[in-house]
Amino acid sequence: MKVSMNKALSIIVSVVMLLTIVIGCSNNNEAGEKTTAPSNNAASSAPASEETNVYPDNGLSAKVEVKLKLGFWENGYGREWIDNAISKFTEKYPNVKFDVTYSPKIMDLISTKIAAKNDDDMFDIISPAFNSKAEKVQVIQAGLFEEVTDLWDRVLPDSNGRTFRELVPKGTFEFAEQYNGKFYEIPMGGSTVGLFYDKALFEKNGWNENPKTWEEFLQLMADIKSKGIIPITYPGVYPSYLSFAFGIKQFEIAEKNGNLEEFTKRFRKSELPIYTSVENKEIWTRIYEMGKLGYFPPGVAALNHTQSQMQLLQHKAALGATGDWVQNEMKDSIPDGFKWGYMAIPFSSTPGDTIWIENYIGAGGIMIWKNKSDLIKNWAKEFIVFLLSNDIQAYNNKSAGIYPIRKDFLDNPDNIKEMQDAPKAIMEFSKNNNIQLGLTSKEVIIEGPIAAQADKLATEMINDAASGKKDPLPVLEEAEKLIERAVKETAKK
Amino acid sequence: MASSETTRTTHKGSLMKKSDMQKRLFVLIAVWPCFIGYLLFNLYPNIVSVYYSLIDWNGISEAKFVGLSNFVSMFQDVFVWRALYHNLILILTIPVLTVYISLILAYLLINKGYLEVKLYRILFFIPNILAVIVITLLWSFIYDGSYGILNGLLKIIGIDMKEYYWLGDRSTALWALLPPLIWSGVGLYVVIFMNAMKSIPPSLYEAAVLEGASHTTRLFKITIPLLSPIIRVGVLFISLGVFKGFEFMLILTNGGPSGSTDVIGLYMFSMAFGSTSHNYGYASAIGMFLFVILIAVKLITDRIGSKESLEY
Repeated sequence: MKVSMNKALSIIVSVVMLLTIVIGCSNNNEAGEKTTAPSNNAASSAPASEETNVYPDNGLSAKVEVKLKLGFWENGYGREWIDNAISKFTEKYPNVKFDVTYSPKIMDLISTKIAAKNDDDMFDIISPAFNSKAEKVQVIQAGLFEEVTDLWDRVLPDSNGRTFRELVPKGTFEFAEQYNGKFYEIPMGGSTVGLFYDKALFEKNGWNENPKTWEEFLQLMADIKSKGIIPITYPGVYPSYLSFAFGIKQFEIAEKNGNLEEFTKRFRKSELPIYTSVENKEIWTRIYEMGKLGYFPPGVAALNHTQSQMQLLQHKAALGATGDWVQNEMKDSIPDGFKWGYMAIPFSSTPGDTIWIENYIGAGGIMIWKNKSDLIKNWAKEFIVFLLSNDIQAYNNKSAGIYPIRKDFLDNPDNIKEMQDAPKAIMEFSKNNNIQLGLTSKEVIIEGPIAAQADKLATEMINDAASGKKDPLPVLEEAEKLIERAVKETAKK
Repeated sequence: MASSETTRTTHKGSLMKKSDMQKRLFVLIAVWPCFIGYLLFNLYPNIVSVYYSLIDWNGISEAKFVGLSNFVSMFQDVFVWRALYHNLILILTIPVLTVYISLILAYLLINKGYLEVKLYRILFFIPNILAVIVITLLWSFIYDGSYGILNGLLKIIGIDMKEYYWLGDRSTALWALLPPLIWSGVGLYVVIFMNAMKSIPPSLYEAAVLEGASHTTRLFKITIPLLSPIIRVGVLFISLGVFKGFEFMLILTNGGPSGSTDVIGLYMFSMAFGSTSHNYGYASAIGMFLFVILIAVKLITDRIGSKESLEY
């Protein structure tokens, strides 16, 4: 009896183990990722025509149930804003439901799903989050995502008959991310990067909050340094953060030199010279000069996000190279009296010249997987258009600090009143200066091990140059030689 | 009577057979899920990696067979050799220091008869149950130039490092990685060595004490020789971990400053999943190279250790 009990027990344990493995392996939800379906309160649904059962504003059926699988990148802006947008959308269109997977590392999941080449398993729509710029270019070139260029010409319901393209600020359409003139995501928010600071600290010290020229900017750096405060901080563990302050300046230099068009084409297509272009060398020469004067933190290479942000919050550093999500990201740690200010670095010596601001022009933009049914794709496009309505933009700005993409957003004084400090500071800077929005995206990426080595060489140089320890020009020459080799290798293939 | 005995023997034989079959069945049921898991998630990916190392593939494009091209690029890649050099420094220091510190601590806890032995054992083991991210964040704040406890302690003893960031300087970053790497590994080996030491017959120590042997003599003449097989396994595991692991570098320094803490695992990872590179073929070639290195490490570790195993 005892033996048979043991046997039975053994078999039960084996079966349980087996079932556990089988169930574990067959679970559809990715481990560690939260999947929720926001509630679908049909509080104010758009009345569908009773005869046709279609929504009059978009002609889509109100009877056919549809569920959109969204892979959402939970970044510095948080998730509250997308939950609100989904909730409002599903209120308006009750036959549409969402299945959202939130993750700060959604790009890993997206990459894996793309590599798996299973259209059914793939999200219907995603935040445009990828592990690298190269990956994004590759997926678009591979034709995996739906083109949404036509949405620029959609008349938005709350726009008095104007198309979306007519509603965005100057330069937005031209500089929004595009590939051979085609768009695969529509900008939903500003996502502006540059230098953020505490206005109270600047006011207390009487520092110049709006340097109009490079010389004035250098004077500001010297003024800050003279007070024993680090002028600019950034998380050196990820040295590319410095490009938030300097990256777009290549375009500013090109414009000043009168070759903006040629440079833009060369930059977007990754044509040589890349590292040793006049514009790039100019930027690194200036960073190196600043580094020698001690304008970046000592030991910057060891600073992670938290340490760098602490320097800013605790006034050990005056300015931080980051993006407009910073206020939302740090909302629980911001000390009383801290008021966000913003500036972009002027590279010209002439006051009033254009100051370029890097603007990712696409925060919260949505990309649609191409191999999905028309029903899904049509509703996905409706959702994108919905994100552009001023009600949603106002909520996004208030709750997440996402800079509004529409000009007429500012026509409503209530909207301005409720803006977060960081985006408001950007708005003020834009008002007081001759600014140009731009984006450092590329349409062509040179790939391969040698190109990766060139990139590594240049990236490793950043902290050294910013610390004034290493002249960046020889490194750029070396990186250029590598990238030339990479281009030749690619041509051979 | 004889016939009933024969029947009983036959019955017993058939029962034995049945029991044997059941045992085999149970073993099969118990083992095969794990074995399938091993085949699917361990062996298969490793075998596929050999194929990946011969292709040019970024996870999206069509895989293109490039022969040994990835290996040629790898051997010409200065970053690979630099990373391996850093691994070499780590492998020459971490296993030796981890085992040495663990042995001393284990020996003290076993032989000194401290009342708080259990507490110490828990304290030493704690780093092993902490997530890597917790350990790295802890150490990043220890090394922080402005608020770090290390600079604070040094200041107390009269060494003013001002705002020196230990992980931010090429000359100290790699060395500063040693304490967290060793600290996080010592606890496990203290526990292992303590248990191994307990199994050494006390009579050996008693005889040694009668002969007038000191603690040091007993440690080096009795304890360590008798523990040598366990120590060898420990050194092997730590050495393999040093070559394969890169989590600490990824979080603490991301390979910086200026690549001074880049190790081969991190470089391989950044080639496959980095912010600027998605080259699975090249990363797999590095992985294959790493595989060969790990086998070499295993063989070297086997050779270094004494072949003779002492018995008691």
